[in-house]
Amino acid sequence: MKRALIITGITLGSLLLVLIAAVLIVIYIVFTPDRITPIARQAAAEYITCEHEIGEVDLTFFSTFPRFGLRADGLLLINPKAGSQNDTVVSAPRFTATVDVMEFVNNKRLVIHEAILDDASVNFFIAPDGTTNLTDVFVTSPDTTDTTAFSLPFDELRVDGLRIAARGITFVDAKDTIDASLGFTELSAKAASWDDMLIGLDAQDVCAHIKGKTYADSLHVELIAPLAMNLDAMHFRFDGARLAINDFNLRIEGETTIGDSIALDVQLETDKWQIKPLLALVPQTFTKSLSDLDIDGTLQLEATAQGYYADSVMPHIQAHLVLKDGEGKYKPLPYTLRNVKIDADADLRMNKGEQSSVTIRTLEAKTKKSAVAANGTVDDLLGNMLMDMHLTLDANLPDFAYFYPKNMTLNGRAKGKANARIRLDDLTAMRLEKGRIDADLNLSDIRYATDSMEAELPLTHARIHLPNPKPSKPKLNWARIDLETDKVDFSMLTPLKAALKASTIQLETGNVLSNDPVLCAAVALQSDRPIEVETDSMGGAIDAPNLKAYVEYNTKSETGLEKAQANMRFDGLEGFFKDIRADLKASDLSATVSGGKSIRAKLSTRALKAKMGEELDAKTGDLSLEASARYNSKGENELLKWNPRLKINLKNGELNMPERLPEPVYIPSIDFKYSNREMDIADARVELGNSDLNLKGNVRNIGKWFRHKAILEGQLDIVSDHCDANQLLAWFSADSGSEEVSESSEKSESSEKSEITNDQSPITNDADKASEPFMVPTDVDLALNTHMREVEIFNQVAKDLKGGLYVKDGKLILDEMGFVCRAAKLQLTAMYRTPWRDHIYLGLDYHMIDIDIDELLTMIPNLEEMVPMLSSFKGAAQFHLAAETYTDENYQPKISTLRGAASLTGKDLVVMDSKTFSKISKLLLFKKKTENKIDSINAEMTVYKDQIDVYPLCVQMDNYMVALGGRHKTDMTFDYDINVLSPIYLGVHVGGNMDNLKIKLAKCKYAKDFKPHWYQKADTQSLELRQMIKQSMEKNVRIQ
Amino acid sequence: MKNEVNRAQDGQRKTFFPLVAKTRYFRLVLMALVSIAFSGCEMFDKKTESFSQSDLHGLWLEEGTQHYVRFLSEKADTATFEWGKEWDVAQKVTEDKLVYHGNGWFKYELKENKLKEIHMMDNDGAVIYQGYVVTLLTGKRLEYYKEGYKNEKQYYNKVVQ
Repeated sequence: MKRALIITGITLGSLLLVLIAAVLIVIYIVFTPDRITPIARQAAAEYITCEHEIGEVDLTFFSTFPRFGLRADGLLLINPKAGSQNDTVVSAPRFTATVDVMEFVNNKRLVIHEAILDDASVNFFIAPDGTTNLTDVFVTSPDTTDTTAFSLPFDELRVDGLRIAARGITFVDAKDTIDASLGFTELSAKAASWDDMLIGLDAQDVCAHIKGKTYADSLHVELIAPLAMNLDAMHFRFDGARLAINDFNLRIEGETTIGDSIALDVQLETDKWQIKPLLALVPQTFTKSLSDLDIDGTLQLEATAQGYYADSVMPHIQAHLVLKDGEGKYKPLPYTLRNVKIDADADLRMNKGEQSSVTIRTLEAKTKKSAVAANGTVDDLLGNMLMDMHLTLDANLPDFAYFYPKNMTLNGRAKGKANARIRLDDLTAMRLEKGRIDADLNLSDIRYATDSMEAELPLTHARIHLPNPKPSKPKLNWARIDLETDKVDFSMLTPLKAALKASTIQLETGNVLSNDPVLCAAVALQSDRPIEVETDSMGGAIDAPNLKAYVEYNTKSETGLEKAQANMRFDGLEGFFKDIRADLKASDLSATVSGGKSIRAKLSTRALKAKMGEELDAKTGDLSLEASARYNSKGENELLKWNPRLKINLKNGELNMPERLPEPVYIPSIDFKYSNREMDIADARVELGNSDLNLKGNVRNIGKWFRHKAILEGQLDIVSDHCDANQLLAWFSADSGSEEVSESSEKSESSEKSEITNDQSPITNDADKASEPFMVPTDVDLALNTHMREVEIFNQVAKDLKGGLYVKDGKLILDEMGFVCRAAKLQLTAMYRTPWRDHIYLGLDYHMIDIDIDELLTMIPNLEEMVPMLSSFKGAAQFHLAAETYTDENYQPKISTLRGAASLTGKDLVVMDSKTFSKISKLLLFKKKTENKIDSINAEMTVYKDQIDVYPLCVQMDNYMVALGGRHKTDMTFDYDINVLSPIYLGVHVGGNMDNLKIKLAKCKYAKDFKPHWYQKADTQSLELRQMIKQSMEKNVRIQ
Repeated sequence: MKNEVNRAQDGQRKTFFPLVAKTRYFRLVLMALVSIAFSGCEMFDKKTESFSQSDLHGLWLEEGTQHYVRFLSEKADTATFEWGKEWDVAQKVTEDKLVYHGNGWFKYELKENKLKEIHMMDNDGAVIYQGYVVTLLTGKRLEYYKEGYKNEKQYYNKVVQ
């Protein structure tokens, strides 16, 4: 066996040696470079039309063993083209190829066993007209009409090894403005067929510019790409290509077709990339929209690109992005995000009219002292991003100061969840109302402050909705906040302070971030604890409130509070507004305040206490009140400043007005309406001092009356069980007389404090005021219809007083006031007029029937001065008096003005046993009896100045007829004539005074009056005057 | 002679003037004489003077007082009565304070020497009659007394205006 093998080996070796020898002979003797080179050059010249050079061409065996190859040195193709970057198309120092020529000739099958091009330089150029610098390099068909497409001269391809090493490759497409270059490049290729190719590329310094934009700059590109290609269709398919650009590796699968546009259906998958260096590589076209982003981290991307790439067309790109350890900054926002994790899907559609979006499965980030986790979607990614995010927040609120208005500070912590749907532009511009934000947060240590307000909430659960889904008013459409808090301290600059405990609050607001200086807010609040509110002019503590309020506050207005509305129910309230103080028990209150100058309120309360400056102090039991007021700073007093309108129904009221009334007014019940124009009393029971009054009626022109511009008019019906008239007159006296008012108004209307310094000077202190006479106001026109069951007047008590009391034109008129007292039934018409303080008019029309004379003299002491003889009588009488006088300021009569007439009728009068009468009776020899009765007496008298003239009257007594008459003076001197007319004529004159009585005999001057038969003519003048007086007296009697 | 009380046997006392003590007729005669004496007989009345009402027109001041009286020529509501007014400055009543045709005003009529004044009231409740007897009326002086009070004359001097 061994021998056989030796023999076989020797045989084969010999054959090989023979063969080698034969080849060597062929190569070195037959196919020498000198023989082959011309042949190659000649053959090249037949196929290459452009300038070219071929160096020595040699046949290779050992370098291409076991096949014969061809080596050409100095290969050069030169095809100048206008605009080309280089006339040289290809230059290569050496080209070696092993080609199966017989396959190409016989089967049109290009089989390249090996092709090596070393150190080549390649320049491809496409002219603007579409021609290339390769177009006319090779011989083409002379038939120019041939329009068939270029086709390869071989049908199949097989490349066992192709290696091109170039020191530089350039590509310029002047038509599409493409400029690309590769530095040292090594290209390798293998191809079993067009569908089974493997391309390898390692290119340094890869640059690419398209239409002036840089798409690659000094990149190192490595590519290993299994490839299938169809050059006719320019269709390429990559099956698991691996591309590395610089340090960024990715795998590509897919296919593309290059034509007028590039059709893509490519998937790529990257390794973990660092973002920052990656972004530096990405063409600006793709990163333009991310110019404001400064991000870094580890990124892994899976993406697909489908579609076309052309001038104005971009393919559809879908990507799945995972970012870890990210850090980022968005220039418009002063935030640096740390520990960013993102797991997101991007859908990029970059054609016109299309929108890109991102679906964020996970986004976590931290910034400053806050952390957020989110998921959601971002639509219109490359435009105005629309974010629809679901966030979990643990936010340190000061971290977000960027979003707050410049004048706003917000401290505290918010933890919870939020949903936000808003565009990025709106978010960065704080147009939050354009989006939608819903949050459920636990707030702690919240402190909110702006230039004009502050709020502190230690612990609060808040639900926030922007915009307000159900605004109670159109202006409150910006936000709704529901709070459950243990405490709120709130203050505003006006100043306004409020403190709440354990409350549930619903807050609706207008846009607090806008430039509108008017802030609107509505609050609904329920609390079991009191709230305290205070401004410089208003404040209060409200117990267990249930409040709904609406406020408009102007931060740039002096008044600040433009409008406030509130509806509130509470167990108690203590408050003040300017100088009005109030204290209410369980109540329902609704109020509106506008511009700090008008108020409307409705109140229903079980009890109220209120105080207005020093002018008014009131308290009530059950009270129902509707009020409105409009502030006018020009008003002379609080009522005129506020112009209140009131509708009041109250029980158990008490009113103090110390400037007007010295004692409180008690109001058991009242139902009335008040405005400065009119007060209408439907029913009012009032207790004024010692008097009780039941009032109905109305009073008009109150405000104008206070301003002294109108007359106070009114009609009131007054019913009283008891009235102290003396007390009421003292309370309501005016300051000056009616004529004095007109005189002083002519002199100086502006001066309330008179310049008069004589006795008529006005009183300036209460003590002096008390001694002044009552001056009837001239600006009052009031009618009081009265029915008083009991009245204290002067030193008498009158019963069942009815009549009218009128105040008009500076007169106080008691019109046919009738009443019953101990002395008589009375009817009185009286006038009290005060033209001057020291010239006061008092007039009476006075009727008394069923008189008790004793009581009469007690009631009218001055009557005894006028009719001294009355003191001598007792019994029943009728009395009529018309009298008037002027008085001084102390009510002392000016005697020169005293005028009057009186009529006295008596029946069954008993003459008392007086000293005077006893002297007379002795002189006239009367019988002495224990009681003397005069059947009747009719006395008429006139009063003129200090004289009372008693017209002659006749008295029948015993057997005697006595006439008497005379004159009485106010100094208590008198002159009376007593004439005995029966049984004899005898006259006595009584004169002097009670201490110095002078009695003397005199003529019977009254005989002609009562015994006319002695004379031919009766003297009727006296009788006529007496009848005239009596008739004038009795004509005005109304009482029965 | 000793003036002894002569007692009758029944003890009745006898006076010096038995006729007077016994008869009542004397009383009757005495009373008749007295009646005649005290009757208002006017048989001795004197003849009256006569003055012109127009002589009263003008302003008069009562002597020793500040009481003024102005007699006007303004007709009152009767044929002969005219208006006048009075006031007392001492009681702070001046002419301008008088209410027209009210308190302080009066209607007056002078017939012969009888001056009638009907004084008015502001409230029109009554009228007050005053009658006077004029004793002197010149261009400068006026004197009168109230009827029945001859001893109480009032003197007025004319006020030149």
